[in-house]
Amino acid sequence: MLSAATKTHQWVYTGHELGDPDLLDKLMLSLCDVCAITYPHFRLQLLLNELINNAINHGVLQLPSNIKDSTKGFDRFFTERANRLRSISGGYVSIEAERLSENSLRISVQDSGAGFDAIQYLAGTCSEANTTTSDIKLHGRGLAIIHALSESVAHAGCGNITVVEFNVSHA
Amino acid sequence: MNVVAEHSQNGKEVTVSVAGRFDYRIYDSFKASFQEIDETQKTVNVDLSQTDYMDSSALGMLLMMREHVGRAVKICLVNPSPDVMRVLAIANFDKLFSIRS
Repeated sequence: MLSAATKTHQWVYTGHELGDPDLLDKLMLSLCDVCAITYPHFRLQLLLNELINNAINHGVLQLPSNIKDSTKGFDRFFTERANRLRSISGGYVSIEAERLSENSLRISVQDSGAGFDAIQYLAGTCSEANTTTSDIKLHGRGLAIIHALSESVAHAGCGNITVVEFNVSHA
Repeated sequence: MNVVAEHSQNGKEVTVSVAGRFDYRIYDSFKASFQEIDETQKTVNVDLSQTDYMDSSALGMLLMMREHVGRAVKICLVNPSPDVMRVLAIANFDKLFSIRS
Protein backbone atom coordinates (compact mmCIF):
# COMPACT_ATOMS: atom_id res chain seq x y z
CA MET A 1 0.00 0.00 0.00
CA LEU A 2 1.24 3.43 -0.86
CA SER A 3 0.79 6.12 1.71
CA ALA A 4 -1.28 9.09 0.68
CA ALA A 5 1.69 11.42 0.97
CA THR A 6 4.05 9.75 -1.47
CA LYS A 7 3.61 7.98 -4.72
CA THR A 8 5.97 5.59 -6.45
CA HIS A 9 6.31 5.98 -10.18
CA GLN A 10 7.58 3.19 -12.35
CA TRP A 11 9.07 2.86 -15.80
CA VAL A 12 9.90 -0.47 -17.41
CA TYR A 13 11.98 -0.89 -20.55
CA THR A 14 12.24 -4.28 -22.20
CA GLY A 15 14.14 -5.94 -25.04
CA HIS A 16 14.89 -3.67 -27.98
CA GLU A 17 13.58 -0.60 -26.10
CA LEU A 18 16.87 -0.75 -24.18
CA GLY A 19 18.72 0.10 -27.39
CA ASP A 20 16.82 3.36 -27.89
CA PRO A 21 19.48 6.10 -27.84
CA ASP A 22 16.86 8.51 -26.46
CA LEU A 23 15.78 6.24 -23.60
CA LEU A 24 17.55 8.35 -20.99
CA ASP A 25 16.17 11.64 -22.28
CA LYS A 26 12.64 10.28 -22.30
CA LEU A 27 13.00 8.82 -18.82
CA MET A 28 14.53 12.02 -17.47
CA LEU A 29 11.74 14.20 -18.88
CA SER A 30 9.02 11.91 -17.60
CA LEU A 31 10.61 11.48 -14.17
CA CYS A 32 11.12 15.22 -13.71
CA ASP A 33 7.54 15.79 -14.73
CA VAL A 34 5.88 13.34 -12.35
CA CYS A 35 8.27 13.99 -9.45
CA ALA A 36 8.05 17.78 -9.82
CA ILE A 37 11.74 18.35 -10.49
CA THR A 38 12.94 21.29 -12.53
CA TYR A 39 14.39 20.18 -15.86
CA PRO A 40 17.22 20.15 -16.86
CA HIS A 41 19.00 18.81 -13.79
CA PHE A 42 22.61 17.90 -14.58
CA ARG A 43 23.33 15.81 -11.48
CA LEU A 44 20.10 13.84 -11.66
CA GLN A 45 20.59 13.19 -15.39
CA LEU A 46 24.14 11.96 -14.73
CA LEU A 47 23.00 9.75 -11.84
CA LEU A 48 20.22 8.16 -13.95
CA ASN A 49 22.64 7.80 -16.85
CA GLU A 50 25.14 5.82 -14.76
CA LEU A 51 22.46 3.73 -13.02
CA ILE A 52 20.75 2.79 -16.29
CA ASN A 53 23.97 2.14 -18.19
CA ASN A 54 25.23 -0.13 -15.43
CA ALA A 55 21.91 -1.98 -15.46
CA ILE A 56 21.93 -2.38 -19.25
CA ASN A 57 25.62 -3.08 -19.78
CA HIS A 58 26.39 -5.35 -16.85
CA GLY A 59 22.92 -6.54 -15.89
CA VAL A 60 20.94 -7.19 -19.06
CA LEU A 61 23.79 -7.49 -21.58
CA GLN A 62 26.23 -9.18 -19.17
CA LEU A 63 29.20 -7.26 -20.56
CA PRO A 64 32.19 -7.75 -18.26
CA SER A 65 33.78 -4.47 -17.09
CA ASN A 66 37.31 -5.72 -17.38
CA ILE A 67 36.87 -5.99 -21.14
CA LYS A 68 37.65 -2.25 -20.99
CA ASP A 69 41.09 -2.74 -19.45
CA SER A 70 42.88 -1.61 -22.56
CA THR A 71 42.10 0.88 -25.31
CA LYS A 72 41.36 -1.95 -27.72
CA GLY A 73 39.11 -3.51 -25.11
CA PHE A 74 37.27 -0.24 -24.70
CA ASP A 75 36.65 -0.35 -28.43
CA ARG A 76 35.46 -3.91 -28.18
CA PHE A 77 33.18 -3.01 -25.29
CA PHE A 78 31.33 -0.41 -27.36
CA THR A 79 31.15 -2.61 -30.44
CA GLU A 80 29.93 -5.57 -28.41
CA ARG A 81 27.39 -3.37 -26.59
CA ALA A 82 25.94 -2.17 -29.90
CA ASN A 83 25.84 -5.73 -31.29
CA ARG A 84 24.12 -7.17 -28.25
CA LEU A 85 21.59 -4.34 -28.15
CA ARG A 86 20.75 -4.94 -31.81
CA SER A 87 20.04 -8.63 -31.31
CA ILE A 88 18.46 -8.39 -27.87
CA SER A 89 15.21 -10.30 -27.41
CA GLY A 90 14.55 -10.41 -23.67
CA GLY A 91 15.62 -8.66 -20.52
CA TYR A 92 14.34 -5.59 -18.76
CA VAL A 93 15.32 -2.57 -16.71
CA SER A 94 12.77 -1.26 -14.25
CA ILE A 95 13.07 2.15 -12.61
CA GLU A 96 11.09 3.34 -9.61
CA ALA A 97 11.16 6.87 -8.29
CA GLU A 98 9.54 8.32 -5.24
CA ARG A 99 9.74 11.87 -3.94
CA LEU A 100 10.25 11.26 -0.22
CA SER A 101 10.29 14.89 0.79
CA GLU A 102 10.95 18.37 -0.49
CA ASN A 103 14.64 17.56 -1.05
CA SER A 104 14.79 13.80 -1.19
CA LEU A 105 14.19 11.48 -4.09
CA ARG A 106 14.55 7.72 -3.89
CA ILE A 107 15.41 5.93 -7.11
CA SER A 108 15.48 2.17 -7.46
CA VAL A 109 16.84 0.49 -10.58
CA GLN A 110 16.34 -3.21 -11.13
CA ASP A 111 17.55 -5.27 -14.06
CA SER A 112 16.92 -8.80 -15.29
CA GLY A 113 20.59 -9.75 -14.94
CA ALA A 114 22.27 -12.14 -12.55
CA GLY A 115 23.56 -9.32 -10.33
CA PHE A 116 27.10 -8.69 -9.25
CA ASP A 117 29.19 -8.86 -6.14
CA ALA A 118 28.91 -5.24 -5.07
CA ILE A 119 31.33 -5.55 -2.18
CA GLN A 120 34.07 -7.06 -4.28
CA TYR A 121 33.39 -4.59 -7.06
CA LEU A 122 33.50 -1.59 -4.73
CA ALA A 123 36.78 -2.78 -3.23
CA GLY A 124 38.19 -2.70 -6.75
CA THR A 125 36.80 0.78 -7.36
CA CYS A 126 38.30 2.17 -4.16
CA SER A 127 41.76 0.80 -4.81
CA GLU A 128 41.49 2.23 -8.30
CA ALA A 129 41.17 5.74 -6.92
CA ASN A 130 44.62 5.30 -5.42
CA THR A 131 46.35 4.11 -8.53
CA THR A 132 48.99 6.30 -10.07
CA THR A 133 48.68 7.99 -13.43
CA SER A 134 50.84 5.33 -15.02
CA ASP A 135 48.33 2.70 -14.05
CA ILE A 136 45.21 3.87 -15.79
CA LYS A 137 42.10 1.74 -15.77
CA LEU A 138 39.26 2.23 -18.17
CA HIS A 139 36.39 1.07 -15.96
CA GLY A 140 34.89 1.56 -12.48
CA ARG A 141 34.06 5.24 -12.72
CA GLY A 142 30.32 4.81 -13.25
CA LEU A 143 29.81 3.43 -9.76
CA ALA A 144 32.15 6.07 -8.33
CA ILE A 145 29.94 8.76 -9.85
CA ILE A 146 26.80 7.08 -8.47
CA HIS A 147 28.32 7.13 -4.98
CA ALA A 148 29.52 10.71 -5.26
CA LEU A 149 26.12 12.02 -6.35
CA SER A 150 23.95 10.06 -3.91
CA GLU A 151 23.20 10.54 -0.23
CA SER A 152 23.10 6.76 0.11
CA VAL A 153 23.53 3.74 -2.14
CA ALA A 154 22.26 0.24 -1.38
CA HIS A 155 22.41 -2.95 -3.39
CA ALA A 156 19.61 -5.47 -3.05
CA GLY A 157 18.27 -8.63 -4.61
CA CYS A 158 21.17 -10.65 -5.99
CA GLY A 159 22.98 -7.40 -6.76
CA ASN A 160 20.56 -6.64 -9.59
CA ILE A 161 18.79 -3.86 -7.65
CA THR A 162 20.40 -0.54 -6.78
CA VAL A 163 18.59 1.90 -4.54
CA VAL A 164 19.86 5.45 -4.12
CA GLU A 165 18.69 8.48 -2.24
CA PHE A 166 19.32 11.71 -4.02
CA ASN A 167 19.20 15.26 -2.73
CA VAL A 168 17.30 17.20 -5.38
CA SER A 169 18.25 20.61 -4.04
CA HIS A 170 22.06 20.39 -3.87
CA ALA A 171 23.58 22.95 -6.19
CA MET B 1 29.60 18.21 -35.93
CA ASN B 2 29.88 17.68 -32.18
CA VAL B 3 33.60 16.98 -32.30
CA VAL B 4 36.02 19.17 -34.24
CA ALA B 5 39.80 18.79 -34.33
CA GLU B 6 41.98 21.71 -35.39
CA HIS B 7 45.73 21.50 -35.91
CA SER B 8 47.82 24.61 -35.25
CA GLN B 9 49.91 26.00 -38.12
CA ASN B 10 53.22 24.93 -36.60
CA GLY B 11 51.83 21.44 -36.10
CA LYS B 12 52.70 21.42 -32.40
CA GLU B 13 49.23 21.77 -31.03
CA VAL B 14 45.85 20.19 -31.63
CA THR B 15 42.57 21.48 -30.27
CA VAL B 16 39.68 19.04 -30.04
CA SER B 17 36.37 20.76 -29.29
CA VAL B 18 33.40 18.84 -27.97
CA ALA B 19 30.09 20.67 -28.25
CA GLY B 20 26.89 19.55 -26.54
CA ARG B 21 26.93 16.13 -24.96
CA PHE B 22 30.07 14.23 -24.27
CA ASP B 23 28.87 10.63 -23.91
CA TYR B 24 29.04 7.29 -25.74
CA ARG B 25 26.98 8.65 -28.60
CA ILE B 26 29.98 10.60 -29.87
CA TYR B 27 32.36 7.68 -29.35
CA ASP B 28 33.23 7.23 -33.03
CA SER B 29 33.82 10.89 -33.80
CA PHE B 30 35.80 11.52 -30.61
CA LYS B 31 37.99 8.50 -31.27
CA ALA B 32 38.56 9.65 -34.85
CA SER B 33 39.63 13.09 -33.59
CA PHE B 34 42.83 11.83 -32.01
CA GLN B 35 43.91 9.04 -34.37
CA GLU B 36 46.27 11.42 -36.20
CA ILE B 37 47.86 12.74 -33.03
CA ASP B 38 51.27 11.38 -32.10
CA GLU B 39 54.41 12.48 -30.30
CA THR B 40 55.29 15.10 -32.91
CA GLN B 41 52.66 17.25 -31.21
CA LYS B 42 53.37 18.86 -27.86
CA THR B 43 49.91 19.67 -26.61
CA VAL B 44 46.35 18.53 -27.11
CA ASN B 45 43.73 20.96 -25.88
CA VAL B 46 40.33 19.42 -25.29
CA ASP B 47 38.01 22.40 -25.44
CA LEU B 48 35.10 21.71 -23.10
CA SER B 49 33.66 25.23 -23.12
CA GLN B 50 30.71 24.11 -25.25
CA THR B 51 30.28 20.78 -23.45
CA ASP B 52 27.06 20.85 -21.48
CA TYR B 53 27.01 17.24 -20.33
CA MET B 54 29.56 14.56 -19.54
CA ASP B 55 29.28 10.99 -18.18
CA SER B 56 31.58 8.11 -17.25
CA SER B 57 31.96 6.99 -20.85
CA ALA B 58 33.41 10.44 -21.64
CA LEU B 59 35.93 9.92 -18.84
CA GLY B 60 36.82 6.60 -20.43
CA MET B 61 37.25 8.25 -23.82
CA LEU B 62 39.62 10.86 -22.36
CA LEU B 63 41.70 8.04 -20.90
CA MET B 64 41.72 6.35 -24.31
CA MET B 65 43.08 9.56 -25.77
CA ARG B 66 45.68 9.77 -22.99
CA GLU B 67 46.82 6.24 -23.77
CA HIS B 68 46.84 6.78 -27.54
CA VAL B 69 48.86 10.00 -27.70
CA GLY B 70 51.50 8.84 -25.24
CA ARG B 71 53.10 10.36 -22.18
CA ALA B 72 55.18 12.92 -24.08
CA VAL B 73 52.09 14.81 -25.21
CA LYS B 74 50.42 17.10 -22.69
CA ILE B 75 46.63 17.02 -22.59
CA CYS B 76 44.86 20.14 -21.36
CA LEU B 77 41.16 20.16 -20.56
CA VAL B 78 40.06 23.70 -21.30
CA ASN B 79 37.17 25.69 -19.85
CA PRO B 80 34.91 23.03 -18.31
CA SER B 81 31.63 24.31 -16.86
CA PRO B 82 31.20 23.89 -13.08
CA ASP B 83 28.98 20.83 -13.70
CA VAL B 84 31.51 19.22 -16.01
CA MET B 85 34.32 20.14 -13.61
CA ARG B 86 32.49 18.26 -10.85
CA VAL B 87 32.45 15.09 -12.94
CA LEU B 88 36.17 15.47 -13.64
CA ALA B 89 36.86 15.97 -9.94
CA ILE B 90 34.83 12.88 -8.90
CA ALA B 91 37.09 10.80 -11.13
CA ASN B 92 40.28 12.51 -9.89
CA PHE B 93 40.91 13.75 -13.41
CA ASP B 94 42.28 16.98 -11.99
CA LYS B 95 45.31 14.84 -11.11
CA LEU B 96 45.54 13.00 -14.43
CA PHE B 97 45.15 15.98 -16.77
CA SER B 98 45.89 19.64 -16.53
CA ILE B 99 42.71 21.65 -16.39
CA ARG B 100 42.64 25.27 -17.50
CA SER B 101 39.97 27.94 -17.39
